[in-house]
Amino acid sequence: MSVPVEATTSGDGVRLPFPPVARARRRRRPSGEPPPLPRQLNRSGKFWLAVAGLAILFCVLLVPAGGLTLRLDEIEKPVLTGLSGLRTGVATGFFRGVDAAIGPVVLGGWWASLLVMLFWRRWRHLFVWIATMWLVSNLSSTANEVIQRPRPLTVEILGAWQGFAMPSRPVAVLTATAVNVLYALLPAGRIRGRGKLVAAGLVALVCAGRLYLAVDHPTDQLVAVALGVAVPLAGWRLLVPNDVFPVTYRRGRAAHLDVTGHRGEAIVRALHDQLGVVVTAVTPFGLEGSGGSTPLRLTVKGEEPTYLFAKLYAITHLRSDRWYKLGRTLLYGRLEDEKPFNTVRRLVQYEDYVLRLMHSAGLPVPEPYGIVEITPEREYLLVAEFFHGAKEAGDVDMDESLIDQGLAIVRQLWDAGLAHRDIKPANLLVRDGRMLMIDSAFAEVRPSPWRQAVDLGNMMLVLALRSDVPTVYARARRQFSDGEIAEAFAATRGLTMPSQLRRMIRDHGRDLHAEFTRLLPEQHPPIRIQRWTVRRVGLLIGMLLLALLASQLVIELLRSPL
Amino acid sequence: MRRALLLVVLAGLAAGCVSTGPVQIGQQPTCTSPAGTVRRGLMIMAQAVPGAQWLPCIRALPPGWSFAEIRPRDGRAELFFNSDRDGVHALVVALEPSCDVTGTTEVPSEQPEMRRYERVTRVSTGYAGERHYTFAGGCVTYRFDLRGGTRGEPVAAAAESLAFLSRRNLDQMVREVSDGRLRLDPSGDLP
Repeated sequence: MSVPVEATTSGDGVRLPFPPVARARRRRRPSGEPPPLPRQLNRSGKFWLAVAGLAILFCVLLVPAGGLTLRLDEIEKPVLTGLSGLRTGVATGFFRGVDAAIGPVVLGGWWASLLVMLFWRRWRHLFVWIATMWLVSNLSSTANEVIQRPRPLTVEILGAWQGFAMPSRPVAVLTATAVNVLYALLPAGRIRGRGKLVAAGLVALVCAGRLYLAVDHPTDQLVAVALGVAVPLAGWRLLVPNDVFPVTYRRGRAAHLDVTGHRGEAIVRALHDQLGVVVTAVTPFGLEGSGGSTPLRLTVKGEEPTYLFAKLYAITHLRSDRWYKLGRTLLYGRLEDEKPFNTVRRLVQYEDYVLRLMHSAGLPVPEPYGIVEITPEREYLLVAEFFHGAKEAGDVDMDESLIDQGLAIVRQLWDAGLAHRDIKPANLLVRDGRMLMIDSAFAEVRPSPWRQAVDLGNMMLVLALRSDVPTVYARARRQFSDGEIAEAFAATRGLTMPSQLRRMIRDHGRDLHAEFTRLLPEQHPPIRIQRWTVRRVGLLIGMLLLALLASQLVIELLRSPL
Repeated sequence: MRRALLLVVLAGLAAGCVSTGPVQIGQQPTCTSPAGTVRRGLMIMAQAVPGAQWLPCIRALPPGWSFAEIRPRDGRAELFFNSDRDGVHALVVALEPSCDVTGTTEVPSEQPEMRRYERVTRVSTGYAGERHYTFAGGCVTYRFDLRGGTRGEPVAAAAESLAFLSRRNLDQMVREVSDGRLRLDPSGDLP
């Protein structure tokens, strides 16, 4: 079944028809049925978490009385005495060499990973590396001091050792290093699979050697391996999931979700059930211009191929939004609404709401189609009209009509009590002589006058990129007073301009801002954007302390994670 | 954000980042053990210096003194003590296979089967000095670094709180607790 031809509006309020979208019958998900993409930690992750839980429980049981560790020694004695019966001069020399190599291997793995992560700017990977190594190292040394298990009794200890035995700290750190190297350096798939076998072999060899040398008990090593695998694995799976931050050796933007496989199928199914839209293809679209979500083009079944635009938001985007807002607060202070969102659902709801507000105010924005739930509270899709065939404003020569439409958009925003807050060439499109505006993610209701003035300033700069300053200024005076234009350029300076716009102006080789300012009949004093609040000072101090702590940690780890 | 912060704090606490300093978190290596147990700190000290026939242990700490930690490794074990008046690590007791007694003065030893040596390095502010007990297979050094006002009294009190347990006795305790299935030291031919 097809819906009637729907319409959108241009900057001057003219409705534009766009192709029909076939709609199927919507389906309500009954209680108990899993969502389109249920949240799941991989089976191996669950297994290792369970093993780590058991290991911790085991350690707790050993703490209170000394007798228990002796009972354990009795149980493990046959393994160690059996191995000591196999001792030869050659084997002893070999395993002493293996044991002595743990330190250099761990340090080598750490340095290699560090260099790769720095070169490929994988900051999240680096953070997980440092945090998990620190956690494994400290957890194992604390457990050592609390449990105070002696080294194996009755058998002569042939290797070098330090501290108490349970858990084996060198084995825990080596295992954690191996897991971190696998997840930080090797792309998922066959290469990482083979790497896991090599790492398992290496850890097994070291464990065998340390048992042979009677430095560890078998259970010291089991607990160490459980900690060394489970802690980093949980860190990688939860904080740097592979489908969001894959390890690749191509330069590209992070934070984009893979929309093939299970997720791709879930998106198609969810769109069908929740919006009644029959999608035949899901394609990433314009990834280079987006860091806060994964933009998609949906090919919809219809009389002719039609498209919808969708933005996939996940928990990682929510975190990015938080960091972005924290960064803005640190850089500028409290200029406007920089409160982060609490959930992905609220983030998407807000963008959908603002898009609908703009649409109903007659602004030339995509028609909203609604929100689709992929994974409850974790992944949502915002669906809207796709401006097929539109070009970015930076690629189109601006005639007077387009300049007027662009300025009218700002006037409409002002009249509706809204600010777009991200006016740049990538967010202004031109199709069939009509100016269109996209991306309402940063839009704000009832913004400050400063923010409204910045929207005007940025719009005039974008329009002047592909026309000339006197024309844009002359057309602007038809819709705005000299005072409003002067205020716009007093507010729009440096960091208040989107980075894409700043870059394009720089490439342009002209100081457009100065050219506009020279035309103004009266100068407005520059509007100060720095605001100092107690919160900002507190945040700055907190971040400095964190940076200091992190640098100390890195220096310590650079010397040796052991 | 709040949850992440809480996780970081919990992880920090779990990792002992606030408790690996002067606060004692393990058992004290006391000279006596509760029935059916053996002090694990004493066992690992014995393993650190396999030839040492005597092991330092805590008899009863005087008021104001606390046991901080034990740092064992092959060839050496150290016990650290804090004093509320004389500072962190005011006394460090080290067990080693041997020690250099050059420049020290031998004094009569109150411990049987041991020789005692003394060296004073600072008396101007507080007290710093070393006391060595040498015996078959090992040497125990008391290293004082007292930063309080008085000196004679804390040195005597701290020294009085420590004693020695023979390796033979410790081995006997291990055998008793394990019903003879375990021994402190290995037996048989070495490879």
